Amino acid sequence: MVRAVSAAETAATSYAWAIHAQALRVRAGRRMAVDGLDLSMDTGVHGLLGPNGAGKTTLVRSIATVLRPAGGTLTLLGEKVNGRIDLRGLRRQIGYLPQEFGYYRRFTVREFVEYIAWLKEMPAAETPGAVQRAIERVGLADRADDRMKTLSGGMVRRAGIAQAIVNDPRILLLDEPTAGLDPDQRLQFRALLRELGVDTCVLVCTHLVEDVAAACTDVTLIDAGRLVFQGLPTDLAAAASSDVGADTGAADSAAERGYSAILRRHRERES
Amino acid sequence: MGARILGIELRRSVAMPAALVIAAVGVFVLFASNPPYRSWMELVVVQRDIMQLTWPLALAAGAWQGIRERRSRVEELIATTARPRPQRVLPVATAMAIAAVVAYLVMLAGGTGHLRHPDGYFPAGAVPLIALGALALVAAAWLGLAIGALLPSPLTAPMLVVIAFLGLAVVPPMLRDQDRGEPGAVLLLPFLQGPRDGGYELQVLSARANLSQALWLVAVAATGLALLAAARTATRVAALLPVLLGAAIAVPAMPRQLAAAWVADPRATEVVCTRDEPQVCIARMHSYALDELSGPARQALSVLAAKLPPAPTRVMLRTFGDGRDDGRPPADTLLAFVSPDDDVLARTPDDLVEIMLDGAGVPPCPNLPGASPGKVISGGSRPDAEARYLAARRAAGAWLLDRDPEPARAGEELDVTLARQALDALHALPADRQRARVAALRDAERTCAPGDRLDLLTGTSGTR
Repeated sequence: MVRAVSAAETAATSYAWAIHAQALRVRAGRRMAVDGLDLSMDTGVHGLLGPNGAGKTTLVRSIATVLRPAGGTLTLLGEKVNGRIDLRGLRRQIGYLPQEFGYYRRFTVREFVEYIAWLKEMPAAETPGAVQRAIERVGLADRADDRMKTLSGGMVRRAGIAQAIVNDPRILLLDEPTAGLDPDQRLQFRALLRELGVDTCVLVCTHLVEDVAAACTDVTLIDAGRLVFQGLPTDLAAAASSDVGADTGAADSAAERGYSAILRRHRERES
Repeated sequence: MGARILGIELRRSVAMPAALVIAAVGVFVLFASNPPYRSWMELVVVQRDIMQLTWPLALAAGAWQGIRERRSRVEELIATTARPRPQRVLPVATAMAIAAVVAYLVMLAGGTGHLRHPDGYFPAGAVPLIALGALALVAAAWLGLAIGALLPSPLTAPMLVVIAFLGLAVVPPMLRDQDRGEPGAVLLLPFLQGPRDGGYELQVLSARANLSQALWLVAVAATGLALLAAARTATRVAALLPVLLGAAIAVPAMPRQLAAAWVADPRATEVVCTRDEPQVCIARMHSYALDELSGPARQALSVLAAKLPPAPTRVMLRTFGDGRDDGRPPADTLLAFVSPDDDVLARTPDDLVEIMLDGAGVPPCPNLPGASPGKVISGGSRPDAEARYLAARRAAGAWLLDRDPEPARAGEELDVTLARQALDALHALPADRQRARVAALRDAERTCAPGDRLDLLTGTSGTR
């Protein structure tokens, strides 16, 4: 796959981590949803797991610069985002698929992706090619000129991924990207993830442990706004084998059993 | 700004459908509520007047577009993008402005279908009226966009239509003074009331009124755009500055009374003439009728030349209410009153010749019976003085054309039997005496000399 390479990308990176959080605290409404999180991520596909209400979406929204941190530090691509700094340059290098992906129903897929590319301040000359490439990568080329409102749920999700990757982001945030995709589409999506992870810091927020096991180079597990586990997907599976006393069905995958084992042990320690 | 993004917004935003609806509603009202327009000025002013309806629609269209980000739930996605809000809203604001201007011009073009003489006089004063109307629609669309973005509720757009429409209907009567009419400040409202006497063709809006209105509308539009572009409360407050400044300058600059904003258009009443001889002339605002009237006018000249020399060599056509006062015509001019809207459309060229030769080609005297009822001042006040006066004039015309006197026209107190008797009496005389009698009537009419014209024509003096 040929990919446009911008000057910013070929420049040597001056930072150690694409995403670096220290004692990060982020409010979601009144609740401190992320509460003292330490996290470091670089190029690769990072699966972000955690139970409902663990603070996954809040963490992703703060990395997307939608929410401002309430405490601690968050450093993205070497830039601290805590203070009142100009986020413009940073935002050009972020791709984001929100959990609730809204879109303009009357736009065609191509128009919508182009509109987002414009909002991300892509150079006008590169935009049409980048839009076509993004749409092809998510397998929507045959529907590129159809209105968004005519797409099925899975297609909308893929259009959402297309708009997130159109600017070849350094940080790509995907919140529940596989919701609504059928099994075949999920396989294709995992292949795309692996491809993107070669030169991008991809953060995939999901409930589906098997997606993480299959496509991620790295797994992060958080609970109650704190880091519980960070390691390889195989480490997750390994945690299952060392687990004793859990009643688990044989049909559950090793990764899933590992996930719940780590979570249970963490909660026991906390209480 | 991104021409491609503007293209997308023009295709996909509510801009063009809204333009279509506004233009359609406007054209419907232009046709439905009025008889065909007699002049460009009337159409242009009425189009401004019905902005009482079209302006709220443009406001609502803007508001509907303004809540799009909330309605489509893209705020989260947009919050993570780099482009600053002022740049982001520019394409959609431009698309809405284009739509507003298109709507206004399409409405005007549609309205010309209800205009009697599209080839008629188009005063220069109509151009600012059209431009300011389009500007007012742009201001409405931008203000609507800002309100929609600030109050992103599905109710915003329908509520705005109702509030704006009622507001525009209620405010002007509240400001109206029993004696002096509306104050000049009603020029701040997005619709424009025409001159009170309805003399659209004769008047234009003064430059002062146009300029102060332009300033005000630019200020409103600027505030709308600034409010839309503002992301923080402080910037939103600052966005109100243009409209306050605009009001502070425009209100004192406006005429005290609305009536004073309408001034005479001297070009409308100026006379225009045919290039070729013999010259036929008419007020510029009725110049569209010149082609149709110049044939009968020249025929009238040649009849006079043949039967009643020395004849006039040019024709000056007057219309009722053309704002001119030419006095009595000199000997070289045939002065006739025609109504360009009724006579030209309804009558044959022969009839027109007859109208022009009434009274041997001299218009009726304003102070003699027959011309202005109730103002009988001289020539003996017989109870039927008016009928006798008109009969004499009619008989003179019939003699010139050598045909029967035309029966009374609508609103004319003419006894055609009287005219016929006078004509018979005239024909009984030798030919040179006949000509002398008609010439005497013509001379008397030119100077408005007192005396009974019927006696003068038939040669009987004193009593009947």
